[in-house]
Amino acid sequence: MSGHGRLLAATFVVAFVLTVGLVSVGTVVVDDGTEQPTVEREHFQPEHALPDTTPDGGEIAMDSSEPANDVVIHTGDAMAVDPMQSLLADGADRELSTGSVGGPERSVGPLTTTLVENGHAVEFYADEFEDGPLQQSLADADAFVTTAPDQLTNAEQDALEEFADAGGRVLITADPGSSASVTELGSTAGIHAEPGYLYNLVENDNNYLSIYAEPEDRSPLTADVETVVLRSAAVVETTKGERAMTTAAETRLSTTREADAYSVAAHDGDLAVIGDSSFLEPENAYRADNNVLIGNVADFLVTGEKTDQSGPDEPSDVDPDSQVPDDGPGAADQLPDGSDWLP
Amino acid sequence: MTVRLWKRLTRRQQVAAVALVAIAAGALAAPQVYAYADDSDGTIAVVEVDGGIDSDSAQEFEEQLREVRQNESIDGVVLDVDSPGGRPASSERMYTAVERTTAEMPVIAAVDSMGASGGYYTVLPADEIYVTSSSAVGSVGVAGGEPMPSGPDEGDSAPDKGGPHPDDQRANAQLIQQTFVESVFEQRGDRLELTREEVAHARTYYGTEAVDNGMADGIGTVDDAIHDVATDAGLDSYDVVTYNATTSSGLGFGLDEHGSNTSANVNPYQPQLIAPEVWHDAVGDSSDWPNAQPAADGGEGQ
Repeated sequence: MSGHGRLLAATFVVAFVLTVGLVSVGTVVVDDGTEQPTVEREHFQPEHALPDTTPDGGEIAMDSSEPANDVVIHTGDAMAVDPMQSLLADGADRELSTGSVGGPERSVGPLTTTLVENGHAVEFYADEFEDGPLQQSLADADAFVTTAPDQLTNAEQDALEEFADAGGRVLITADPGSSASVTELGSTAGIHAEPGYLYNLVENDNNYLSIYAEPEDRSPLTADVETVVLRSAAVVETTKGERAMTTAAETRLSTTREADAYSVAAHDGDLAVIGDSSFLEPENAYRADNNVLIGNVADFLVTGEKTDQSGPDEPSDVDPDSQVPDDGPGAADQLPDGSDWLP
Repeated sequence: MTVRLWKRLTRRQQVAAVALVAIAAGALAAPQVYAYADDSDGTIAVVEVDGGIDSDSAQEFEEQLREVRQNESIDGVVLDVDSPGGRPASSERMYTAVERTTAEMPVIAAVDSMGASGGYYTVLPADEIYVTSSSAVGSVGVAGGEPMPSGPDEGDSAPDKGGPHPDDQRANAQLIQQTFVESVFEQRGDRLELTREEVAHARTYYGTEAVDNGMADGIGTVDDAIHDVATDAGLDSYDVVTYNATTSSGLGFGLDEHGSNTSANVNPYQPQLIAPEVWHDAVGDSSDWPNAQPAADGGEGQ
């Protein structure tokens, strides 16, 4: 290759390398990478996003030293009482291999175990077809609890009124949906429930229906209670007795959506009405001070004296007709004194 | 050699040669000049948010917005929205994609029939939300199954495999709800006339009321949004490119490909960010579920 040729080749190589080098360096200098705009994520962080927790735990204790009392507990039909109960009906479908969630009575488990632990007797009453007339069950009983007042027949309601008149303690848990029957049962004591349910979107136990309630006065039901959690509550008002618990002021009623501090429990002598049954359920019994409330309920049930007026063998000061179940098959077979039940 | 050749030319020939070169150069440059004068200043991308939100639609949407951000010719985005919402995590993913995009260019969302629940969540970070007077927006809440305890099952290795404890189920839904409400206030707190409680009430608002209470910014459609985004981006003239939502479908949210109701793919036990009417369509009456349960209220006093 001649000198001129070498010069041309060298010129080409130098020019080529320079060009590629400059362009590459320039590109690297100018290119600032693929941009990723930042986004605000503070409100997704645990310290801002995690829901508050409500204290859980404690024990259910009774103060009462009453001798053995008999408590009849009515939880109603599994399918109609509580959403949870339907689980049992379908238990087989859930392929439970070693047991089931439990019967309808599980919803009052913490109360019944407390009563039994303290020496009292518990009898479950489902309905008149399964357990005979309520009157019969109540004959030897000192207290009656119903978590399904809307399922009580007219005859059962009459038997219950008679029982209450004789000094038997009655606790009604008035879940939303049972206002008519609660009002019917409570009207003589001036206690009634309102249609609709309560909710609170400002302060709640992780659901708008899970509201907090606080004692209104020193009702025996609420001694040592500071806050309870009710998973789905109805308004329970009283004209004669004492309000036992009220909700926080931001609580609203579903029908009017008005915010107020609503009464959710009332107490008059031997009758107590609480606008919620969920606090008795095993999953809720230790939430906030629900355990203290359950202990107080147990004390309420076993404290006091019942006369034997309502016994089937005793004369009664109420209209004897009211003792006869007035509906359902077999009602006509009931003798006026209730002593001979002919199924 | 070129110089010698050049010197051999007469002056006239030299002028002619220069003219020839100039014409050639002009011919080369003309298309660019023409294009520069004639072409729009930029491009507005219309990105669809359509139907139920699940991981497929969120993936496609995130991808489309990423492409939009990386495409230097695109100067603004309009979200063409008609969605009743869907899965919480997917809605949050779409929310984040929109927020990332607003950091780079103007974004306006225009809601057709519905931008509710997860659909509303998605458009929250947009610079503005346009609605027609009857568009349904809001529904800031979670729909889900009722907390229920589960029974023993030896098939599972632990109790939570059979289902969460009711307390945990409430806490899970509350976490989603709380974050949703926070996101609303994070993005629109300065424009909202509603309290936190009112927003959390999860009402679906129709367009006119939504503009009045700050859930939306103005009455307008996609056309208005395109024009306004272009103005915000400083474009006098612009092209429009549309990114369709191809993966979205009603499937999983109550509608099959024929438009008829089916709840085959809906898990009523999972919390969802969907509009109540779609939830009821998809899930039906809760008594139809496996392990049927009656309404908590017993049917009274709703």
